Amino acid sequence: MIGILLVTHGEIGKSLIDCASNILGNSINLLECIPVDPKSDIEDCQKIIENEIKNLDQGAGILIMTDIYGATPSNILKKYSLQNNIEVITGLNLPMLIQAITNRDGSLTQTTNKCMQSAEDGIININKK
Amino acid sequence: MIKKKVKIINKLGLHARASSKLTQLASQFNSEIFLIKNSKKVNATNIMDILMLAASVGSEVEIQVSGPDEKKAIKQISELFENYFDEGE
Repeated sequence: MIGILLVTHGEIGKSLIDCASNILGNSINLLECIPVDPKSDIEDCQKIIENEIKNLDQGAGILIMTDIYGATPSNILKKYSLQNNIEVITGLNLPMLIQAITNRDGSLTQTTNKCMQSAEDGIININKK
Repeated sequence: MIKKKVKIINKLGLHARASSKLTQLASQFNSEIFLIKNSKKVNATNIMDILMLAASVGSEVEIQVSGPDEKKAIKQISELFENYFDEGE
């Protein structure tokens, strides 16, 4: 099973996990979140991320999601995206997270692509639907 | 393959928790299960695909099942709709 790690501004990750748990109605394994705030020390954050990567790695890879591309969490994560067993994607939203949680028994690439598609599909101007 | 049209009667429609229940049930069968609304066809084991149907109360969806346990699957899935997704209303 692919491990999932959210690295987000403040408590966004924790809130999304709470919402996904309510919707899916069960506890979710191999899913962690790390908050980053203006007072966070970058080196401390990296240590926490590296520790979580170790904990979440069961051999199927790790999908890391963050909110805004170019912001501190995404910049911290850039170096981990170079590892073979890790994908890092931005634009985290609830559809992306739910897709990840419910479709993570295949390959890391497949799951990553599905998550990105769900995140995009979930953005709709209802007036124009 | 067997098909059945069902009306969505629960107040909140095919919302997130109802869709989750549906995917959990659909995943228990060996058959392929699809939902169709307004010619849009989605896999009933994928919650995000189901949610994209935006099926609200009063709308009608078609269940399509194909496989070794199709009769059992379509019966139980229809019942989930008919039982208001166990939401009481």
